[in-house]
Amino acid sequence: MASAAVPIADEAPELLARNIRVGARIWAASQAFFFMAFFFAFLYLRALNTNGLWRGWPNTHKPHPSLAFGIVIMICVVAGAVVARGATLLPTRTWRVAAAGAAFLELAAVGLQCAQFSSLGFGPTDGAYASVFVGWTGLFALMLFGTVYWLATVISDFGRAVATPAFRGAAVEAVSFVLIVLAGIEFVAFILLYVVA
Amino acid sequence: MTEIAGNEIVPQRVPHHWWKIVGTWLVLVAISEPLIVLVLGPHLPPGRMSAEAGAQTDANVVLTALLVPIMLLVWVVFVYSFVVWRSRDAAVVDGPPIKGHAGTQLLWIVITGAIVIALAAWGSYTLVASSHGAGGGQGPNPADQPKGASHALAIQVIGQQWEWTFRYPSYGGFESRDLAIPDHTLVAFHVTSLDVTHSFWAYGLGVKADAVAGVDNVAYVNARKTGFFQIRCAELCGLWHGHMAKKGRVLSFAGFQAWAKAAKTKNAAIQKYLSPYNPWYFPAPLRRAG
Amino acid sequence: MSATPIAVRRPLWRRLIGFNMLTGLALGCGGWFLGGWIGGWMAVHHNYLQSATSCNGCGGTDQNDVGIYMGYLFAVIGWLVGLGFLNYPIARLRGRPPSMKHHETTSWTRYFKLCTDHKVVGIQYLFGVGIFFFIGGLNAMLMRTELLRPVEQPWPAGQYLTLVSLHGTMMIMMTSAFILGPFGNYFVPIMIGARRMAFPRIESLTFWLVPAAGLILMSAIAFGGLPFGWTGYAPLADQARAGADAYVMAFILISISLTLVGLNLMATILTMRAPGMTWRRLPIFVWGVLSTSVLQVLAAPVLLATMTMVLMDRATNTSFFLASAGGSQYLYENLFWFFGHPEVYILALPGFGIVLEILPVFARKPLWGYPLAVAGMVGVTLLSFMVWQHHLFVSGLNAGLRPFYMLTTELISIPTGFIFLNAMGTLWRARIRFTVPMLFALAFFFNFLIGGLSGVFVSDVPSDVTTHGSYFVMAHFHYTIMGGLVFAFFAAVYYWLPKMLGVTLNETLGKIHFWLMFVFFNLTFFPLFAAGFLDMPRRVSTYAPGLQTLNDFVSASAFVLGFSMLIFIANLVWSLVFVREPAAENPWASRGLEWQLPTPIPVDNFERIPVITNGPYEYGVAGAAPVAQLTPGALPAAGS
Repeated sequence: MASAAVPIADEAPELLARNIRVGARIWAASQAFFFMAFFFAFLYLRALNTNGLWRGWPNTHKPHPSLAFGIVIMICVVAGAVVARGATLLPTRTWRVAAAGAAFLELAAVGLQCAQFSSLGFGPTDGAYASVFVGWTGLFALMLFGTVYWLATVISDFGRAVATPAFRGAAVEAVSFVLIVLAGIEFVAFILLYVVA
Repeated sequence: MTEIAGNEIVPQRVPHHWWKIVGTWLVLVAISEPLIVLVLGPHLPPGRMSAEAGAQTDANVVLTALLVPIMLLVWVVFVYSFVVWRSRDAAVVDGPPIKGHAGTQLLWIVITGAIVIALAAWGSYTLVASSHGAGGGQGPNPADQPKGASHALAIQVIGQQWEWTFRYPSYGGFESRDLAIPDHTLVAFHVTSLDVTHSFWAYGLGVKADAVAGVDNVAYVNARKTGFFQIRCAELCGLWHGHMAKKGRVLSFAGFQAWAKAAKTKNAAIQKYLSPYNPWYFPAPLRRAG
Repeated sequence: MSATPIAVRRPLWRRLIGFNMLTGLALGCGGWFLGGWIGGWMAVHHNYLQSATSCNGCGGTDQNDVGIYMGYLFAVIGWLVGLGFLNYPIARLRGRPPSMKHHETTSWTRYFKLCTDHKVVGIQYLFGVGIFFFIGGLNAMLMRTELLRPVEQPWPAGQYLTLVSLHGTMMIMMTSAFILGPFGNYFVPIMIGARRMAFPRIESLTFWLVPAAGLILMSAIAFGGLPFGWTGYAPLADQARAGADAYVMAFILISISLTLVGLNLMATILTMRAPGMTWRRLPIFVWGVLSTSVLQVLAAPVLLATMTMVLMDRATNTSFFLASAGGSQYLYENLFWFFGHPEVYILALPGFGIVLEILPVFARKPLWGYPLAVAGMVGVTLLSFMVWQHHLFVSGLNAGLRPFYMLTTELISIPTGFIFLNAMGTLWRARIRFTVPMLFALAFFFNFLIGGLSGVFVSDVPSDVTTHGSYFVMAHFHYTIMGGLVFAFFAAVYYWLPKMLGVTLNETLGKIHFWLMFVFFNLTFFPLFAAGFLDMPRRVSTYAPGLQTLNDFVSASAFVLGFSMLIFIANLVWSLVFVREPAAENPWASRGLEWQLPTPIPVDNFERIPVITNGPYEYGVAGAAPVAQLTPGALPAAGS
């Protein structure tokens, strides 16, 4: 996501760090508005319940995603974000380990979501709830995967002599901020899709 | 290198420009306002065939009468500037360094704010209280119902690609391709669609309501004059969107009764094929897609 | 005497191999076939990935939407890979990213590649978006030909609707970045005293998504066309043939591009202002760009989400928008217009910035009421998220909320009106010079006044019942968008081309272009208010026979309006290719920071980061300090 490389000569070294910090916050706001569309779709279609088809077709079993999967996925996402954010409070030599841990947790969440899709028991054609469920969780997993890629590039930065400590710190802070916002979105998604339903 | 002009902040020149501008503007307003209200006004749409159309026409006349003077004022200031303050020097010469004037800005904010809030208030009053929706579609639970809405004559308008049909539930639910309504009677159009979104626009009556599948969109109208009115579709619905046009009629109440009886007889043959009257219809039996 | 090594120029065919547009096209075509094959395999093996053959109540088609979407997706991936956009992420993952130094600084081939110089991206946008503007304009000429008679001649109904939809999508979506793309990218870093943008590679990505989206959109013609205008209302969009998939894919790409442009410009303005560039000294154009960026960053993702929902409805038979299966048409309308209304302010706000930037230069006076202008832009930005249901006044949606949305829509005319006070104040007792940029800027105010005031009509619900869905609304938004944005675009082109391309445009041709365009623009669109009042709906190829004279008059005026664009192109070709008269460094005697630099602007803009010492509108102030110290004595402090 960020273009962090060798700075232009006589550019202030903190400038790259400032770019990423502000860029991450703007990006997080965009992501929040993206998922807000699904949030609105869920509440609106549930309230309208057109034709009584919110929760599925008559004479078939209702779409019911596995709560276990939902809880574990949510915990992985939130824990990964907390670990990544906590990394910024730790001494710098532990950043790499903490970031790797966060990446593992988030990747596990993506993998578990794929596993849930393969054993879902219902599909996108099963009414409005099923449509919102598949759309929201699928796109969230995709977004999370992209963020994990970003985190991986930040981790690989630690091996480079060129990146300054200030920049590394800013990069970790930036990606962890985005992960925290995604964790918040996932928590809301969990409440709506699994609890409120 | 630009030359800076001499210090031109001379107070007594300001009112001199202002009087000329305001004077020109007042003359133009004095000419245009009577033209708008007396000459243009009677021709502004949608006319006075119904109470709702009358409310819309009043809105259009008032808005035109209010906004044209604003437009003229801005034009007069601009054109005056072009004529009087055009640079006549070959070299680039700077003007006086006037950066703003708090009083003018405050006055502008207050006046534009007042106009806007007055328009919103008056528009809301017209919509909610005096014209009860002004002929616009209000959805299945209309918020702005006129008196006697529960006794309104219900006429269902069904839009489909690419034709309008009409069902009359109080007359046995018969379906006809022609629309007729009685005058001096509160009519409630229940507009719905069989497929994509259309929009039922009865021009002379001042009615416009979107036809949405699965939704019963209610619009009220109270016709005042008999005659014909044009019906068109106002929402792009596919290939022949422009051809969903026909004429409807406003008849006297007795004339309407006679017409309904004749139409019912004429359409009796297809009555047994129609599904029961319902606020909305779904053409295919409910089943899972795919 | 040492022998200077002479760089051996490789032959042209050798230089064409590499990561550039040609490679992108080649890999894009390969990706199309690969994706189509994968999509076909997917559709066979998953029973809910069928085409919409059994979509309840919306007809059906036999196309394989998944195959088409996968084809487009892999084509876009191939396009981006061929241009070289994966090089940096992969190199970074391996721990060896390249430096940001521009490798190519002089060759003309850098305009056809991923280039991190924001000035190159600006020129790419100018021509790239300009091409789609002219294609959209050509569509309009063809539409007006159809409307010469109230019958479906010379285009059949389906082709006509495709023309209408392509005209709308080209003009609104493809040219969303009409000003931000060329001029925002080129001049914002320079105007704030920066040497680059915050994220140069992302900026290049936002440009290269635009031709991809444009090509995909135009491919809709081969796939059955677009029957639903630029708004793409479901369920008509669910019912449509494969051309709708092209529409969805193009809108997905453009919404990504819009979001990233906004992100980049916002980050640049927030973090890279030179020392001394306080918020009060920021050029008003940069304020306009900042406001627009806020809208883009927040509204464009909603369009992206909406389009993915349409994609899923078409390809996997979800029921977001199908009432017969639990969805709702109203969901689409709400989501679309939540984006759609900020979108029209994305189109309008940069125009405000341009004209308020140009007016002081040719009135030779400071911008009158600068804080008021900023307040106006900020007010418009905030309010534009709260008005969207005015597109839905007669839809049956939330009728009880109509007074609220009427109020917010009326309120937004207050901050919009501030720029008129700014303009009148700036012209007050000025020394006005009627150059071509100034003429276009003044015409903006004339047109936008009519457009804005007609907006008051449609914001009043009773009046909107008369005019919704008719040619009145069409005239309103053409006056605000074309009369506003497009005139501001031409003002910016005539103003800044001497600095961007170092060549003066011919003034006589420019004035002919202006007068033809201004007069015939008004002759084309003012009668359309009457057409709307006289019961002519939008997007129709037939109308009441009594309206034929009016429509013929409008079509004839439109043809001359189109001809005036040819005059502009002739001017461009004449001045750039044949005459090539080099422009002075500051032909307009402007105080702007960009005009204090040499032409052409050096690769890294400034030798040293400048220190800003004054605002750019200090005309007529005796002894005013220059706008910046270009070679400050000490090294600049970090940040501002």
